[in-house]
Amino acid sequence: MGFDQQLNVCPDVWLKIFSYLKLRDISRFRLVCKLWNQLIIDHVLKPRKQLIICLIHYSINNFFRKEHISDCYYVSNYRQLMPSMEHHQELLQSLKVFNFLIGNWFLEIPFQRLHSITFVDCTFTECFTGITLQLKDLTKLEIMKCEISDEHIKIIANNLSQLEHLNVSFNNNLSGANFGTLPITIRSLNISYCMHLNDFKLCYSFQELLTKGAKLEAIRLKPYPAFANTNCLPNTSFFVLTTLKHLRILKLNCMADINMIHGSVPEIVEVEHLTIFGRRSSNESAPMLLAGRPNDGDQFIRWLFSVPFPNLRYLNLVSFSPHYTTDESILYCLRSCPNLVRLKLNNLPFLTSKSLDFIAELTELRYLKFCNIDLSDQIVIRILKQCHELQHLIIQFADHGTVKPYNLTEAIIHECIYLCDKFPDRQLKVVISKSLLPTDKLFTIPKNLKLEISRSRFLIRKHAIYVDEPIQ
Amino acid sequence: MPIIKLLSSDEEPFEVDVDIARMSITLRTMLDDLGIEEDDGEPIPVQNVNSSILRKVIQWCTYHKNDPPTPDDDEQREKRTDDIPSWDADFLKVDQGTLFEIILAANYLDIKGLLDVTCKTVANMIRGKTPEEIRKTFNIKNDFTPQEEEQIRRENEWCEEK
Repeated sequence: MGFDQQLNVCPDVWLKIFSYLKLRDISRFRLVCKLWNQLIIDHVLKPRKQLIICLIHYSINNFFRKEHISDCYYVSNYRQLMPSMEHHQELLQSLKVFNFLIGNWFLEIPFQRLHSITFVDCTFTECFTGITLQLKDLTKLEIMKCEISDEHIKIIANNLSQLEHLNVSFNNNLSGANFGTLPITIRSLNISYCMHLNDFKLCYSFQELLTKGAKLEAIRLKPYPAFANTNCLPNTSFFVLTTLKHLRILKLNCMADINMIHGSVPEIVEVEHLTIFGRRSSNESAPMLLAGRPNDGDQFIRWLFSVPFPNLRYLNLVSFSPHYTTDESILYCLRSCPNLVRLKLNNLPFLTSKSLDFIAELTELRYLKFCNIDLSDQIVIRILKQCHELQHLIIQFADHGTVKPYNLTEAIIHECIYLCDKFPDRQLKVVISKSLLPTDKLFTIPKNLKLEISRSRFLIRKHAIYVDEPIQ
Repeated sequence: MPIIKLLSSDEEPFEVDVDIARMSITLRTMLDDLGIEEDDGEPIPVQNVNSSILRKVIQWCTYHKNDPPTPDDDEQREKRTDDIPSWDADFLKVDQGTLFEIILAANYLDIKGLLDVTCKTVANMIRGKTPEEIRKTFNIKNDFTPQEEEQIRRENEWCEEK
C-alpha cells in the first residue's frame, strides 16, 4: 500500500503526524495533492478559530512564548500579510503584533471580525486614532511595552465603546489618569509593571469608573521591581479597589496605608482569585514597597480578611517579610478562606507549624504549592492525610531562599505511596525539588501516584520521573 | 508471568506476557471487558495486524515494558521530535511500507508510546520538504490543475520565507 492510499485508511494518523510539525510546514503540504489539501483545510486550518498572525520584525521576546510559534501564522513584513489576511478574513478573530512600527499600512488590514488585538514592543506613528476608529467592536485590547501615554488611553476610551478587557502593562509613561473615561463595558484591567503610576490619579480613575457603574471584575496591578522605593502603590487607590463589589480576580501588592482604610470594611467579598505580593523580591534586605511600620503587614491582612471570603477559590501569597508580617496573621487569613481549592505560598519563610498545620483543615484543596516554606515531615503528612481532594502537591526551594533546603525525608514518599495504595481511585501528583534528604532506598511507586523528584539522591522504581541533578 | 495467546490476521499464534499485551489499550479493554483469563488458552484475534508486523510490535513492547507511563498530551507543550531513543530509532530503520504498517498497528492496538515514536519518525522524514519532494518520497501523484495550484500558493504566501 502506498502512502497516499494509507491516507484514505487512516487520516487520524496523518493528523497526529502533522501535530508534530509547524503550521508553516503543514500549510505548504496543501500543495502535495487534493487529498492532503482537503485534510489540512478540514482538520488543521478550519478548526482554528483563533487565528493568530504575528509580525515579527527582528526579535522574539518573552511575550511571544515559544510554544505559540507552531500555532501562529507569522510573517516578517506586512506585504506578506495582506494575501493571507484576505484569505482568512472569515476566521481571523485575533491578531498579535510583536516588535513592529505600526504605520498607516496597518489600517489596510481587514479588521471587521477581529475581537482581540495584542501589540507588544510596537511603536505607533500618527495612526493610533485611525486604528481605534476602525476597531469599534473590539472587546479585548492589549498594548504592552509600547510606551503609550495617558493620551492614548483617552483615544481608546473615546473610540472603543465595547471594550471589555484592557491590558496596558509595561507602559512606563502611564500615570493612571483617563482610565475613568473607559466605557462602562470594561471588565478587566491590567496595569501591572507601569513604573510611574500616580496613586491619586489612579484612585480618581477608579472612582470615576465606579460612579459610572462599570462592573470591574479583574484588576492586575503588580508593580515594577525597580520602583520599590517610591511608595507608589497601592494606597488610596487600593482603598477604592476594595469597594469594587464585582471584583472576581484581584492581583496586587500588599500594604495599603492602614490609617487610610481605618474604619472601613472591604467589599470585595465576591473575589474568587486573589494574589497578593508582599515584598518586591525574595531578597531579605530589600526595602518594603511601602515604607511600613512594624506590623503594618499584619494590620493589613487582618483588615482585608476581617470579612470572610466564601467564594475565594484561589489564593496566592508571595514574598511577605517577617519584619512586617507574622505567622498569626497568615493563619488569620487562611481561616477566612475556608473553600480554597488552590493555594500557593511562595517565599514566606517565617511560617511556623501553627499556620501550616491549619492548611490540613482546608479539605477542599486540590492544588497546593509551597516555595521557600519551612516545612516538616509532620506538616506535609498531615496535609496529605486530611486533604482528601488534593491532586497536586508541589514543594520547591529557590536557590536564594532563606529557608534551609533538604528538611524533608523519605517519610513523605512512604505516606504518598501508602495513601495511593490504600485509595486506588485517588490520583496524586507530587513534585518535590531540593527538599528531600538523600536516601539509597528503592521505592516502588503505585500507578495512581505521579512523582517527580529532583535535586535529591533518590532511587525510584516505576511511574516516577527522577530528574537527575546533583545536590549542590 | 501469566501468558496469553494472540492470533495475527494471517492466523499465526503468538504467546506474550499479559503485562505486555496490556500495554495495548485495545487488548487491555478486550481482556477486561470480555473477562478473558490467561489460562483459558483461547487465542485473541488481532484482526488488522499481520504476523510480521505483530512480531515487531511485540518486540517493541517487550523492550519498553518497564517504561514510565507517557504523560498525557498537553496542548500547550511544544511537541518535540528530537527525543527518539536510539533503540527506537534503530528499531524503526525499516522500509516505508513496514513503518506505516507499524503505525497503523499501533493506532489500532492503541499503544501510545509506539504511535508517538513512529509518528515522530515520519514527521522528521517530511519536515522541511517541498511538496514535490513529498510526492516523490511517498509516490503521490499531483492531481492539481495549474490554476488550483496557483490559488493555494497565493493563500500560502505568508508561510514562504523571504
